[in-house]
Amino acid sequence: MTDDDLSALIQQHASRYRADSALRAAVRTRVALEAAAMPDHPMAPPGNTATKASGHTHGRGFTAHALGPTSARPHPAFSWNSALAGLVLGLALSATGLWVWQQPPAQETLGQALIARHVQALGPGPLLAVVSSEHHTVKPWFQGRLDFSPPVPDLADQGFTLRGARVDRLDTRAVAALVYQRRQHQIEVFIEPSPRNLAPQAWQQRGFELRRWTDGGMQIALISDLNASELDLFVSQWRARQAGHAMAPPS
Amino acid sequence: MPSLTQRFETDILPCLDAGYNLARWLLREDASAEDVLQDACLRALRHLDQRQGADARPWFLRIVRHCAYSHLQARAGHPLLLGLNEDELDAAQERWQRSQAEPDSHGALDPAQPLHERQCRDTVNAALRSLPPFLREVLVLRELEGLDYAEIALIAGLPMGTVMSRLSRARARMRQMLAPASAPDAPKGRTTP
Repeated sequence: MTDDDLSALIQQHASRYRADSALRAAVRTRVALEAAAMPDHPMAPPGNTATKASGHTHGRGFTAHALGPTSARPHPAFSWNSALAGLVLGLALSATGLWVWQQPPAQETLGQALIARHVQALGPGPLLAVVSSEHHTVKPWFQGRLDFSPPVPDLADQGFTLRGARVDRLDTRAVAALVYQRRQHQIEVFIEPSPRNLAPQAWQQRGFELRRWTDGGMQIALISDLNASELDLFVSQWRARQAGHAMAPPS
Repeated sequence: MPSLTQRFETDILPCLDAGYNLARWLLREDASAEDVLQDACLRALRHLDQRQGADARPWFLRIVRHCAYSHLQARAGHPLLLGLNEDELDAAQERWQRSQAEPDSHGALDPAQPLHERQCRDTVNAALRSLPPFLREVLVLRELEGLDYAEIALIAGLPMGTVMSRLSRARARMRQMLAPASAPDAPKGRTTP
């Protein structure tokens, strides 16, 4: 058998393993999470400057840094401090003066924060501080934990089961996080007081569906891997339920 | 300037298949290969700003290979258990030959008369799997990813001459396994002490 015959045999018959869509999704999620924890700017936070300062002189773009011991961060846990530093730095660099404080948070920035919180929440550790499908249990649970009372609509009859809630942080603000479920898909809803009135926004970021709107002095932002049409149903049911509450107080 | 994640999507995502293929062939099972690919992606992301050159694939495959060996080493507990020595190599090959010792059509593969596709695939895969990693990887990169000697040398961190000699050793082993019956040109005397 010549080398060519052997090559043909291997090329024709040996398995070529491919990264399937689940693996690709996992990679993109972890990369999004990791990227949310590190600023994109040339000016890195203290921890990163050493790596960034060196490594530009190696041939062919290979650097020793990329090949250092892998045990350094075998399971890169999300670091909220560095994410926070990254977001704050990003805001500070991308806007000048007070302008940024007068604008609603950029969709993309909010999206990054939501994705980071969502992915972290789905990881190891408790997703929920209070586990209950009863909105009468979940809503009072926030008393004493937040300085506002978030809406907790019951959408079970529409196929959206309430799973529970927790107090979370977005940027520096304490927010209420509710988790609903439809089939295998989680919907995470982040609620915080907001004096503004925003037109409802819908967008996609890194494969997640995101929505944001304001109602009754609250900003509601949600993230899910549910498909867009079912998520829009969730939003419309939520808003209808809230509007109903506003007009006719529950008996 | 594109963000890091944008650069990751344009530079690295197109290399995911190649990266997974290398990891999967080195680790020889799915779950570890997936872990290795994810670790490699995160390392690539962290060092993407240092990457130069047009083609991201060798750069990324070098990181994948590094992660794969770290994983193998952690699993084996000791580098010697990676099958990097000759005794281990010969023992593995003898095991393989015993497993293929059933008479008749299973042993020999004549490219002119291909066996059933599935049988061919199993036989070639089993032969490739039985090679030690340092020979397996050069064949995978050369034959399945179509990389040239210089690229393989960069990925494996070896001189080009070493790549060529490993390729020829890997091919010789494959030939012995795939064509024991119909190989008049196969080197004789391999079994002599």
